[in-house]
Amino acid sequence: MSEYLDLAGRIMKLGVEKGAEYVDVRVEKSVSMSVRVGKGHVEETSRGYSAGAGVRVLYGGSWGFASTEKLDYESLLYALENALSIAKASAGRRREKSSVSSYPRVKDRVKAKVRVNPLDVPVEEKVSLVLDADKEVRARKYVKDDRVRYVEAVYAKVFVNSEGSEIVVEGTKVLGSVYVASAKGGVISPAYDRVAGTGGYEIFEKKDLVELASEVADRSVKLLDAEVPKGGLATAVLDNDLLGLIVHEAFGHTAEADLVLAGTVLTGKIGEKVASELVTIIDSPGPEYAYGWVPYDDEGIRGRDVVIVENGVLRGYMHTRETASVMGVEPTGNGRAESYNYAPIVRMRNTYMAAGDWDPEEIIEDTKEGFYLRKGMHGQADSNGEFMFAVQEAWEIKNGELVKPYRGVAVSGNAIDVLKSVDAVGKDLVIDSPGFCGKTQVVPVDGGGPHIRCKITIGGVR
Amino acid sequence: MKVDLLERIIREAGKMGADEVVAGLYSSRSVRAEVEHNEVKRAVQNVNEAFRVTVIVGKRIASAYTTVVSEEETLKAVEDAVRMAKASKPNEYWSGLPEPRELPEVRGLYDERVAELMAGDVVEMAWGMVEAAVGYDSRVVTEGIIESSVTYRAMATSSGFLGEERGTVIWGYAICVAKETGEVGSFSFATDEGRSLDVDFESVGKRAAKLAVETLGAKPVEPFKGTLIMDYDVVAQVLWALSMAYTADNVWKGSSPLRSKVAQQVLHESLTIKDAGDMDGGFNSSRFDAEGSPRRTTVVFEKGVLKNYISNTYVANILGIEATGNAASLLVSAPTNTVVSPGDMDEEELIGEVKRGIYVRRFSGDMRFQDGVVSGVAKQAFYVENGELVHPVVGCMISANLYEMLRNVSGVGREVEKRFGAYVPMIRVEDVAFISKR
Repeated sequence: MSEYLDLAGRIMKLGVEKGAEYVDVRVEKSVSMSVRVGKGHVEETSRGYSAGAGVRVLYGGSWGFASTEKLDYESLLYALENALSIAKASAGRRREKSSVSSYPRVKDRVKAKVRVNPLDVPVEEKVSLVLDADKEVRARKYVKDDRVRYVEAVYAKVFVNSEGSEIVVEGTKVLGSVYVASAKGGVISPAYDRVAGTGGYEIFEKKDLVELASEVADRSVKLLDAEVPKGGLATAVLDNDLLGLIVHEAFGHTAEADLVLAGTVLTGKIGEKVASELVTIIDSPGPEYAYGWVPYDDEGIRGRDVVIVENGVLRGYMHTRETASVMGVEPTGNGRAESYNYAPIVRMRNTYMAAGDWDPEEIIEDTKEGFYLRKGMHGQADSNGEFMFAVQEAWEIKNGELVKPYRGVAVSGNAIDVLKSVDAVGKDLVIDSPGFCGKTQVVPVDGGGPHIRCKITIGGVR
Repeated sequence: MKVDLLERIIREAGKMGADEVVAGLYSSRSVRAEVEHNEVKRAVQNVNEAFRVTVIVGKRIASAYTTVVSEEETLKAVEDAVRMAKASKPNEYWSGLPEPRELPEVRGLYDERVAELMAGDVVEMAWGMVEAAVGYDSRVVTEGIIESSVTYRAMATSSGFLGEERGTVIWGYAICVAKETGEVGSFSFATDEGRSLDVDFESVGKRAAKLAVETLGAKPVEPFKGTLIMDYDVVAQVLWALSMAYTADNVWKGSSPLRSKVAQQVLHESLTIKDAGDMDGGFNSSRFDAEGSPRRTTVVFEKGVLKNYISNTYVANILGIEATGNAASLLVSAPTNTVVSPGDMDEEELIGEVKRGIYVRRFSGDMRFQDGVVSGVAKQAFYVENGELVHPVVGCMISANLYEMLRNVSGVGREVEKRFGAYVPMIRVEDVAFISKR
């Protein structure tokens, strides 16, 4: 990819000569592969190759961005000219001019740790892996539908900007996922889980796809006979995965500086208590194995930890160069773009709650009455902190013991209320809640936390 | 020229050992204006191209795509696909590509005025949207996007299909948050979209602002069972979940509860629902689907009775039904435009007759087609008593079953609005549980 540093550099320099206040050029290439199996049959084996460049300019306090999929001088020049002309076209109307905080020049190359390059693993082996997982699922009575997927992406990104930075990031991400729906007497029970991270095919050593398939299928079948709980406010112990989803979706988005500027429940609250003092929440560019690994963001900023909440007090927001400039702080490395087709915006990376000092078992033993909630499925959240998530598995807790499973549980509440109600935080921090976040652009993210106890509204079904 | 390339690809793939081939070329140019914090922050132009090929070698199916559309790279993609197919396992359900059939004439898919839009034009529209929102009420902060695209696709199959079409699309949305003395309201969402320049983003801005401001001062309600009045966005969401249930793939695989329900009364008799892939000017309309089958209109529910599933040829052959031009790929079916026939009530009547209920304009939550679980939070919602909107509601969860809801319909609106391929009226439903933490 280094060959594109020169091309990107020439385009960047031309942009500066033409009067832009700031220019960056990103060149990206990726090779991806996916296998999907359902009902014992291979439904998809697909290989994809994509390449392109995005040119971004700040001109007259206005942004222009243009992309191309042809990586030659003429095409990038055309993109630069388009970016300049559309920035100029909108500059006149701006009331508040955009600006960017400057950042020291960086020259660096970073490569994700990969032990087994997925490109070296034969297609046959990947197909067999997915078929084996599918077979494991279908060995169970009552399983009606299943979809097992394998996805790999090997990518390289070149970044050059008018501050003189030149950065090359090379990464590899692998994902295996299992969806199962079982049915019995009119009840249909879906379940889902995934193993994913930055790294190579060795990810399946951490969690075998067949084993994962077995767990998902068991959960789906087990919940067929479960009842639906009564709704209402309850004490709940959340597992690492569900907590990761809530920390990202319900809380994290309200701490993204672009949304903070528009107005969220955290706007203007730096230094105020927004959670129980047991709660510390961090958005991190790592760890290296996480699905949301971002050593440098798409604005050339070296990623650093953002302590959003420290012992219950709001400490900071996540920033791009522009939001950092508006708020007079340092950028944090949260400027991410889905691909060369997009300009970066504020995004999370790996967002988690820090560990406390309770044994996770102890939290359940200490709970007289409540629910143990495991594995999130999907959810939505709002600028005012209100959220709603589907939970795959719920157990009623009575006198410190799990007494009865329930299905079809959704939880809701206000993120601030829920985090303020936290009265126990486990020592079992796990960052392994990979997924995709779709805030206008889709990017891989990760997160997690320990087991915690809080108060949350359970909404079952009649 | 593009069609020539595809025909050459089909021949080359055959020489490499492919029994069947589908090859397609896609290109687009789009311009987009992005609004943040009441400002048009960015203008973006994308030029994209892609080539995709799917080959079948002894019932083993594989695809490859590339964004580098040169003769060399496209041939490399074909080689990749053939090599992967040979390494894969046979899909015994595969029964072959469909024979080419006559394509429908679908009007209103391309508008020169949209094709000619430049970034500056879209930026102006975005400013219009922002100014309409802020002009409606200065307490709102607006975010949003407006994007216009001109697209071209050409497709050829080894069974003799050859088709090409061009299209235009313009869409946009505004999200507004209203702030007042320390209170941040729930965000509101309004959209417009179309294939022609017949769109109005100033109305979008105004609508989003109105919804956001009305939400300020929202209060919780006591839990109760009552009437749910679903606004257009919520109905579109319900229809999306329902469409998964009548997509043949999910029927075949056993995920859908609509299996073996053809000719049965599944929904309330006031509901007639069609999938209309050949609708003039439809957001998701086109002349042919991803296997080259003609798009068409399929009656899915007639007066609540299930008439048909929607399917590609692959699943249709497995289930022994007719393919309906709904191929999203050779092996996956998907809905196109979902059209709900209007009823005879206006908005005042739908709300005026309600003794106790909630009027919901946005729903944030889960609607599962598999078991019908509907569980989520009512947004931009109003508590309704004796036909009057009493106050905006916060923290209210709706807990219901999708299929029961669509059986317990007590009113269907007369007006139909478009929501990204859903053409829906308002729908009123009885006997829904509203949960709150109070």
